[in-house]
Amino acid sequence: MDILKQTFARNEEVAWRSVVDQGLLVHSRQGLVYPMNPVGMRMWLLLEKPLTGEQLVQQLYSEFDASKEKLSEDASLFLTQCSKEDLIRQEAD
Amino acid sequence: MASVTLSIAGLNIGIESEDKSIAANISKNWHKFVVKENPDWTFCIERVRSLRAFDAILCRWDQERFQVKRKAVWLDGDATTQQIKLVVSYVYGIGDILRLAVGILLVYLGGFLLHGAAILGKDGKTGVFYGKSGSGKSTVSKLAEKTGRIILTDESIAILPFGSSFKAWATPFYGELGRVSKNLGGEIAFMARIYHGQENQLTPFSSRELFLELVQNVFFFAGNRFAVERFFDNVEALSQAVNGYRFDFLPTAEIWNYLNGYFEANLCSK
Repeated sequence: MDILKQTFARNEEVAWRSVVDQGLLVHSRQGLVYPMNPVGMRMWLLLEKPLTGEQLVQQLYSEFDASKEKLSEDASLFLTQCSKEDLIRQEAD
Repeated sequence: MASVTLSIAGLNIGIESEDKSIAANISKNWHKFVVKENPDWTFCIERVRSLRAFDAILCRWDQERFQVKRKAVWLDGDATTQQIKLVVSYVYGIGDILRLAVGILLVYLGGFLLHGAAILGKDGKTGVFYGKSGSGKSTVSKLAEKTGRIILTDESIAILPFGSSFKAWATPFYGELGRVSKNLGGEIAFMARIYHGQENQLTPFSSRELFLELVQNVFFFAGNRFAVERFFDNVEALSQAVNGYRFDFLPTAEIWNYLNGYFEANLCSK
């Protein structure tokens, strides 16, 4: 299934801090640190409320000077890796 | 009940347990840190087979209470009584238990435990050298030892606020050297993220860079999101108050001349 059609939200157990345009996420159970680049941090901030991957891409497209294809690629990678690390969780539609 | 009191980072920490081997081990292995004074904080350690009973508890982190839950440890700190209850499974060694508990207490008190080496100068100021395994902490410590300098630690530095700045303290959580020179602390003169280099070279970090570097070199004893956020606050405060650098170094005693020349000071002096 296309990951961009699924809805995601932050895992409440993740502590985070944005530092200028970058950021850090820490899974409080595992104690691992995940540095975020500006696009990754923006996606994390947008996931304050549950969003689909497509909504995420749409919002990024309005903010970053990049093609939709590139942003879709970045969002897919972000959602896949963050789900795998339990930083975000898939929401029921 | 057996008890012993340790002085760590200027705090007298009483360790109490029904398990008499704990106090005996601490007295034997960490005698430089044992004091005969009344404790400021008391750790009450209880060994259990399983921590399943604590699974459903939601951790608090506020003015009165700080709680952290890990697989093999339940830590319940009460700021009113200054007592920390530690329920631990038998798989956890006393060194690991104390490192975790001290790390959490430091975060509660505005500091943290950093993976690094700290060298104290005659002027009472401390140079902090931090980095991941293999970055050169033990090398810097050995160079300090060879030239008669005071090594506070070559592995785990206790950091706590000190006026408008921060102090680095010795801890009993040793690294490769297996010992510390003295159980002391000193105001931090600089924080250097170390790398093996082709020459001695200090490059200033912005406070943002220092924050990002430090966060990735701490001992994380998470288990409670609010504890991690408090920890972020503490590192941010230190990053604003202390000068940070990237320090590429050559492993010779010349590093002390280089540092003293750079700072036009007598830092890390014998």
